Amino acid sequence: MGLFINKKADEKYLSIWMFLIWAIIGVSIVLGVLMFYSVQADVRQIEAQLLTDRLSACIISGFNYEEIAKSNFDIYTTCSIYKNVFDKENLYYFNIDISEEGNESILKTISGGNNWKTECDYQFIKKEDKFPQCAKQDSTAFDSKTNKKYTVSVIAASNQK
Amino acid sequence: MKSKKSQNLITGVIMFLILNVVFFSIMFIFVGSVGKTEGFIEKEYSRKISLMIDKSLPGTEVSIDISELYSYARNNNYAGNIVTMDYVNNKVIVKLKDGEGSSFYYFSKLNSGAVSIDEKKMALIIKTWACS
Repeated sequence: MGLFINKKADEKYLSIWMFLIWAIIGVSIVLGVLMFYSVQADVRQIEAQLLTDRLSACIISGFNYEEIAKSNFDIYTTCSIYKNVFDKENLYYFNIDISEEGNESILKTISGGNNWKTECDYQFIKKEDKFPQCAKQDSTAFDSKTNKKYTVSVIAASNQK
Repeated sequence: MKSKKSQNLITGVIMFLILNVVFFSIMFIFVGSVGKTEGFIEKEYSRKISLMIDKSLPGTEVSIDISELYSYARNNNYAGNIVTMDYVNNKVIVKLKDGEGSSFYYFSKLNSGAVSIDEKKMALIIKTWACS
């Protein structure tokens, strides 16, 4: 007991404050490490980028506007992506916007939840961890049948934690 | 009297140093081991495999070394499936011990049997091709 009850300040090696400091250091280290690993496990940004790449590449290769504009055009089958994880699980989102160069949008395909587009627009201005992570890609596609250039804009997001 | 006081001081200093060493050792061990727990490894590999599936272009074959998973499963005496593919729900499930394990979704369409395990090489083989 004598160890903890020292009367002179220069002898206080083991005081209650010392233990409090250790506790604070310990809790900070534990929290810091757990936060570091949880950030490492967050791959939403990579997934969003992969989905954007997949959709852009798939639409641009052999671009045929007439084919894409058909009502029975199925983006999921064409790009080999699984519809259920978009509709049922609501983990991913994508928005494809096709416009004739310099003109307004002529075709839009949206899949996933309702608020994602707004949250993505916000994300592009200010990064927010609680929102789904988004990626965007604008590319130019050339339709060899009509000899026209189109701008293909793809936004994709992931919210899988 | 003076000698007892100085003895107390020395004991205090020694105790202080020992406790410091113990405390910081515990912290070092914690920091070093927390990333190597089964939970984190399961999480890491389920994500890694899902991302590899989504990144693979149609027609590619990818091999992932999963020998680390085997050694963890062996240490836990776990003899079940380490990596399970749920082709119906598009999920990769990694388990290193009895329990739920860690699952992660992928968005690519895969034919059943696209992912297999080469037990000799302790590798996971992903074969992707465009589905029609």
